[in-house]
Amino acid sequence: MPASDVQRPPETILVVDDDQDMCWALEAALASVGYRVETVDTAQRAIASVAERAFAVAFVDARLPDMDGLRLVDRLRDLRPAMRIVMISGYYLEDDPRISLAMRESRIDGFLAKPFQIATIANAARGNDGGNLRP
Amino acid sequence: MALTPLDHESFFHAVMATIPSSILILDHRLAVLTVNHNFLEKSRSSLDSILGRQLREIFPPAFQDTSLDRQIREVIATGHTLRRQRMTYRAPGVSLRVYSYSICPLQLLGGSRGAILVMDDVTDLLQLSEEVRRTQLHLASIVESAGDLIVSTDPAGTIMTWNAAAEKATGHTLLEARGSKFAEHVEEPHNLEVEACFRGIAEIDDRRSVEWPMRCRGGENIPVSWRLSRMTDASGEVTGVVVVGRNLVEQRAMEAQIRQGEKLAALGMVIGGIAHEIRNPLGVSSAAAQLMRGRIASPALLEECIGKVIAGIDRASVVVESLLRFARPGPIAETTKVNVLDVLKNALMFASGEAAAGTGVEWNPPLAAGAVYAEGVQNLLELVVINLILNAFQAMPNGGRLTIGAWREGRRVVIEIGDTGPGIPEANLSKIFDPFFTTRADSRRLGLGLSVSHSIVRQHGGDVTVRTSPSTGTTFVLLLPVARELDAAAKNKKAS
Repeated sequence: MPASDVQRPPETILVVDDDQDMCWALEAALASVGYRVETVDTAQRAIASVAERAFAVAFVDARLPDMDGLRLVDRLRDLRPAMRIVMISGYYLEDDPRISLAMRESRIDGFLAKPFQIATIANAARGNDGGNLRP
Repeated sequence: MALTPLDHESFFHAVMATIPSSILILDHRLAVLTVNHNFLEKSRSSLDSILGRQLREIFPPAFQDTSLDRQIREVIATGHTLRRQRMTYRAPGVSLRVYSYSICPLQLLGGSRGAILVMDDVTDLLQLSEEVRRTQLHLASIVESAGDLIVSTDPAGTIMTWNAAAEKATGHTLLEARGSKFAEHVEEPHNLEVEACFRGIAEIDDRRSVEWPMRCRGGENIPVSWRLSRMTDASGEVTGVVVVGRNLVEQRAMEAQIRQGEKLAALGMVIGGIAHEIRNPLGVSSAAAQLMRGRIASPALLEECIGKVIAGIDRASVVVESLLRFARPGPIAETTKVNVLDVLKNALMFASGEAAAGTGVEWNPPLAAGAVYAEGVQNLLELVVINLILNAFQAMPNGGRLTIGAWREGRRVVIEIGDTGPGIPEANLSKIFDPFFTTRADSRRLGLGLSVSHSIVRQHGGDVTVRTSPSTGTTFVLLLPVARELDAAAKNKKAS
């Protein structure tokens, strides 16, 4: 674990994914690089959590049972303009036109395709990925 | 003709005065002996100025290009009547007139011979008939140029006319079609409907169209949408039927193209769903394996990671296996005696990772009730139960109660998998076993689970039914054949 991470107070990251195992994987991966993680399984719960408190980063699954991931992103952006939002998906490829457009329009700050490298997740959480999050 | 009581001269004058033709009587030198009133009127001349004059002197120069002189001489010479000749009269400032004329030989007093020339102005008549002809041609060309098939029949359904579109669509010419029954051109069994239609000709409703495939020359048939209308005469009597058909071949081709496009779009959705279904467990397994490589200190987390790796790979395998079973539904090779309770326990263990927090499991009847044996293939039956249990868990995202049970009923084994979810809406009930049917608008689930389960159970000679209601949830009921040796034993017992 790099020294710089240790010196910072642990930031909390929101993970939005309706797959329990995927939540576990993201939580374990992010915890391993020093983050605290809150997981929710629906868009409605994500909105409620973000409305209640500030998160440094939100990882949002592209397909949620109650809302399209990109729509949720816009709702979260309205609530917390400064929060970094990273889309994570097993459905899209990183060069999908919808994803590229969302990146260009800064609706999302990054995109991660499943399966992913823990190092890439960590970079995405830190925001030093340069916008290109290919595993 | 008995002319005895007639005064011939007075009769002659009466005819000459009243007949609506122009009449000239000429002697053999073509000098005018007499003309009638109509001629004087038409030529705007007086009797005095005409009598005794030569024919060529009294006719306007416009007539002189005709061979009238020669024809009259010939009639006088041969004694043969010349009928219905035609000449045109062109004069400056006057529209073209057309005359029809006949020349008849006459015996004159004193032994000399002459001729009578009878002329009728037929200009208006000709114009009228030309108009009629043109109108007919126009109507015919409308029918011939129409893109729709236009067929006329008599009241019994015998074809009278058949337009170019009908020729083109079927390959049968009008000549071949005329006189045949319209019903003969319609594919069986629809020809019976056609016959019924003509039998009940009074009930023909021209607002309704019917689709009857039409037979073509090569034996193939084309889809045609038909509309029938009665033809009636002035008194309302049915004189025939006009049958107008729209060739649906191109429309069908277009529809097929649209369907193909829709299929491809649907396939795209399905592939997206497959990708998601496989990449999720891959992501979990991969993350867990990466954490292990990081040499985790906590033995509990290590144990958890190993479990997630294996479960993730298993999950991806079930997806791939379901896909393969859908793509290649092969017959079942060899069945064995399968302990159904083992199948249920294995499937539950496999699927339990998908259960939402707050989900309980109830065995009904209790597990202790004893073993139940079915005839089948163990891993296939496990796949079926896994799919049903996963389905039940998905119906209870906020937890609930999963009920599992199995028992024997005569020659059948009954397995029930129930949830306390919201039930299946009536509208979806008929579709739940369709491949790729899913209620998830986001297409996260493939919609293959129930379809594949259904086909596996059918391959076992069994059946799947469902009980559902919004208040109690959904229960899937599997019926499987009881293990063969038990079935045989039961039979032997009965026989002895």
